[in-house]
Amino acid sequence: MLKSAMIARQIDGFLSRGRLGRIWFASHTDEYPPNAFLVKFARMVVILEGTYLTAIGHKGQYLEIEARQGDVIYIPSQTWDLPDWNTQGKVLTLLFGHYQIGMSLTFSDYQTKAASVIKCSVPEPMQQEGLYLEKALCESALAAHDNGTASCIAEGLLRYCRGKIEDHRYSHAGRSNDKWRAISMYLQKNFSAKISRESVALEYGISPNHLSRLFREEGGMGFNEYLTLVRIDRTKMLLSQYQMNMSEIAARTGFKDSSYMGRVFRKHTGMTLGEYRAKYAA
Amino acid sequence: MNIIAVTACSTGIAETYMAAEVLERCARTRGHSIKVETQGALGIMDKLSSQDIASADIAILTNDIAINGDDRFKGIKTFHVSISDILESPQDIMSEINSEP
Repeated sequence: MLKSAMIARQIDGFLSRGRLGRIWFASHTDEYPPNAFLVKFARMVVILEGTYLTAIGHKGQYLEIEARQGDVIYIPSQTWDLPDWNTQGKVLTLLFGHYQIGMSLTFSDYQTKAASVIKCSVPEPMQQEGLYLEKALCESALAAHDNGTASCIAEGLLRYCRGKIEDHRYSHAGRSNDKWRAISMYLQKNFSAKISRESVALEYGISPNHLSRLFREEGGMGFNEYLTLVRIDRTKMLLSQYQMNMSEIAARTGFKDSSYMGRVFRKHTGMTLGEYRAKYAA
Repeated sequence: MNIIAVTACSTGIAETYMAAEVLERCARTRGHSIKVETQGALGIMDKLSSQDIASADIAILTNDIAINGDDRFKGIKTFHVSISDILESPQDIMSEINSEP
């Protein structure tokens, strides 16, 4: 069975057994234990079964926690936790990365380390409802009284991530897919620079033809077409949100000049730059 | 010196990423260039390209769990270290690397 399917099944089993319990929120402390876990992305720990022992920073203090089935610990980026595996339980940790959602299912059985682990990742970051749920969860941490809202939001977030496994169930195509994903992310970061099929192929150590094949097979469109779409997306955003002139926008989106940008934009959207701005400007 | 590294820990929830940051910081303060691939619960991130590997002088691989694709580093001087070595005494690893001829 695929690791992602095993994790999905564990989440489904857990959700069918009842509601979430208590939610703990880690918060920043000036000092933290030397071996504490502290990373640049937020994490959410859900205790699926048994007990989970950990420590977090909480209101400036060191707080030891004995969490039980159904409890959740939310650890924002740059705050820490320190799990102690010397207990018995089954725990799911969700990692909210910049480019992907990670999941790590750990089983502990009174040893110094987790007795066994299953990991999987979903190759897209949190979007729309996922992001809003996470934001709402953070806000609920500030509420004066816990009226159960936090646990409902946390459950929503868990269900959102569970759904993401479903969406990507058929996309375990393996290495060529990984490479294509990596390159398309690279394009989404570097579209404003002078990049070409040749320079990107060189960057990834593959031939330009291989790169084109990868894009046709995995992305269903050519390399240049993909890059153009990324640039047009950004052009639309800049047109509607900012009052920059066209040359500035062209410079920021990687088009060689504004008249070329205008031609490509019109071909793809059926609108001139000015028409688009007039229609969608905030 | 050009350093490449791969970090991975058993749970993949934090130490993989912390070790990568520590290596990057230590290598850069010593004037080395470094690229670190992480293999944690977020999947494989910052994957080393064949070019990165071809131009590397040394490789640092963590040995807590099996590394995905460790056959890529054949022919490169490789250091196998544990995540806790990196987190607790990164300077020792860097000194060992520096003493290489």
